[in-house]
Amino acid sequence: MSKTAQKRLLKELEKLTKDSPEGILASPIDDSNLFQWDCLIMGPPDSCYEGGVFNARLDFPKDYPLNPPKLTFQPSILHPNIYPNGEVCISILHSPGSDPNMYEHECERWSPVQSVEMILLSVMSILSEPNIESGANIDACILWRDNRPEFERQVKLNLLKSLGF
Amino acid sequence: MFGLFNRNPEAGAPGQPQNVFLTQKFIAYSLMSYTAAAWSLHYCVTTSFSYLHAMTKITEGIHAMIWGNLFLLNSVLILKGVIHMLFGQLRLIEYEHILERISYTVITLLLSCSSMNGLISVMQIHCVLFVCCRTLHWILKDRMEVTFQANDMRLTLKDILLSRFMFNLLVLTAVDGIIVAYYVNKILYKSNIDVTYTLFIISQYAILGTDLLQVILRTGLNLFELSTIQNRARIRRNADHHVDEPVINHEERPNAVAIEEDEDEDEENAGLEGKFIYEKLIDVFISTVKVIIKFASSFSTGRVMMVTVLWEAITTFKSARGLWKNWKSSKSLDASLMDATDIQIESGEIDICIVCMEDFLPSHQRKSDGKKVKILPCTHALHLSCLKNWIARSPTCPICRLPIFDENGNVMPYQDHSQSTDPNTTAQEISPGIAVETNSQTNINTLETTNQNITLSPDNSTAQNLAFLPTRNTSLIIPIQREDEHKHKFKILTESGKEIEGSLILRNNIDTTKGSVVLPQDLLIDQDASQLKRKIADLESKLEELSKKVKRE
Repeated sequence: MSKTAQKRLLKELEKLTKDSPEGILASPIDDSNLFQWDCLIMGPPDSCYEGGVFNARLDFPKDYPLNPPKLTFQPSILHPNIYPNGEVCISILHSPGSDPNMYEHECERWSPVQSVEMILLSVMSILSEPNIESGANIDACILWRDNRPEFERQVKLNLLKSLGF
Repeated sequence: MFGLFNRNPEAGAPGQPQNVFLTQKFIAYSLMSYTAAAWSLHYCVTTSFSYLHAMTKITEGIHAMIWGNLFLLNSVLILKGVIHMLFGQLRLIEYEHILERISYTVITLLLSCSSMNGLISVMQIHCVLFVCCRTLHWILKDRMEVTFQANDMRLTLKDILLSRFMFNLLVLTAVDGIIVAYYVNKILYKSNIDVTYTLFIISQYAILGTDLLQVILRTGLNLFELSTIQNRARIRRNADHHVDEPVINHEERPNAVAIEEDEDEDEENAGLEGKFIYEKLIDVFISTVKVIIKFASSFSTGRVMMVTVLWEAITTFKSARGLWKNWKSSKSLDASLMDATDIQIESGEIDICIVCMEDFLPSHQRKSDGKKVKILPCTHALHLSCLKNWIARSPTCPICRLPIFDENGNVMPYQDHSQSTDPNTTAQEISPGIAVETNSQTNINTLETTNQNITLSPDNSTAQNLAFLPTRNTSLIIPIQREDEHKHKFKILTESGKEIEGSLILRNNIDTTKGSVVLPQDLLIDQDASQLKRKIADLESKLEELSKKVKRE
């Protein structure tokens, strides 16, 4: 059934292990199931997430790469585009076809050109530059917009906590 | 009522400080409602002289409001209890769907009820029951998606048949059936009821029923798919057994097995390929049924709803037409799209299918038709089977997002090769293989999209002439001027009269695909200029705002 998906995931894994971009690590949780990946994302430098290492899980659908995977931070992090349960909300992770709410263009949505690497890179970029126009965590959005120092303080605090301080 | 629903689900999600606060609010609110109800009961009983008198007092004025409120509160609590029993912890997306839809549902219900004449309290009870039922249906639909999107490879048919989801499906079907039967009986055997009102309620439940039917049909489809997959796996395992391979090995590492076996791969894909179309078909069918029911019910109830019905009919028609076009075009895909030539594949001009990330194979090495290489109108190439699967989801090129079909469902025209003077240079079209070196990336994009089909001719004699940028999908020969051995210059005139100067570096005279187009950085196409202007205006207004703020402070 999901031969294409498996093959493609294996190819992507090969490519990622060969040369993975800086700040990103990703591999399947266990060898028997290629459809669940564990990822480590480093907080991008010059952002308030700098120095942090965040754990995230990628859940691939059976018809990957025709449909996008789901990315969930575990544990969740405070960020305008990440739901309180850790799910990441970026347009390239939304299913193809036109948006029923007309919020975003079709060209911003998922396409098979995207890959694990691209997804993680765009997540890194939203870590350094949140998009509060399509916020997922409203409280974080408001905090980010109105009280940046407090937002950064909370992020740093969570970051230290996650590192065991 | 919205407030209640809004508050309640969020209160259920633990761990967030603001939600703790909400829970406290909700508890306070429930306590107040109960105290008010107790007071109302006490007051009515003590100030009246008979049971009947007390009851009439309760159904009047402030007391009716208090009891109505209590009823709503309790039904929300009961609903939460039922949801928890049936579905367990809800996911965030399910909460979101509920919150999104509940307001619309309640408003339409209130609108419809306002045109009926019946007892408010009775209507309230019916409506609340209906809203609860509907909420359960929404959750069920979301659950179905989760159940079948699960990535567990070891999931068997039996697991799903015995799962909580199937149980819920059965329960909801039974509930719907019982309620509809109850109302139908009421119409048939009781004379003193409001027929229009009961018919309205029945039509609402009928719509719920069709929703449920959709879930059932989709479940059936998914189960069918799962069973075919398992059958195939079993057959394969048996076949492997004959070759005396250890079976345990396969169970432990299903992926490895999957990758090793190449031969029956296209058969494997076949089971899944049409699924998307079938799902769409079910959707269209269901929405048609819904429109018919709504249309029928809008005769007996308010004419106000006619507009919504009409709107839905139009959307249904549109999606049906989209489905038809999609189906037709995917049928004729093989015939209408160009095949890639073996020369193109072997020369490495097109190398990899972006969907499956596999290399293209020249025709004599291919095992099946599904691996045929097809060229899209935008000159990107994909495997036929990969393309078919993608087009079912979105009829655009996955790489550049240009539409593959025009409005009538025909394939967009290709570039015309016949205009080119030298057959050997036709391959020099601007394809993704050519590296584009420039600082203003947007320029190139606009250039590429407005004229995807620049064909370069090495004819030096016409170098002085300026060619006009073509409108979409026409072929163009741009005169190029040879500067030195590898560098060629060309000029293009845009429609607005701007002159674009570029140079083409061909590092190797034979392999022209590895060249690069260098455009001067200072040129700006009008579109970008206007975009930038808008941005500047934006920034200026922001600056003004800020300076005002500073002044005030």
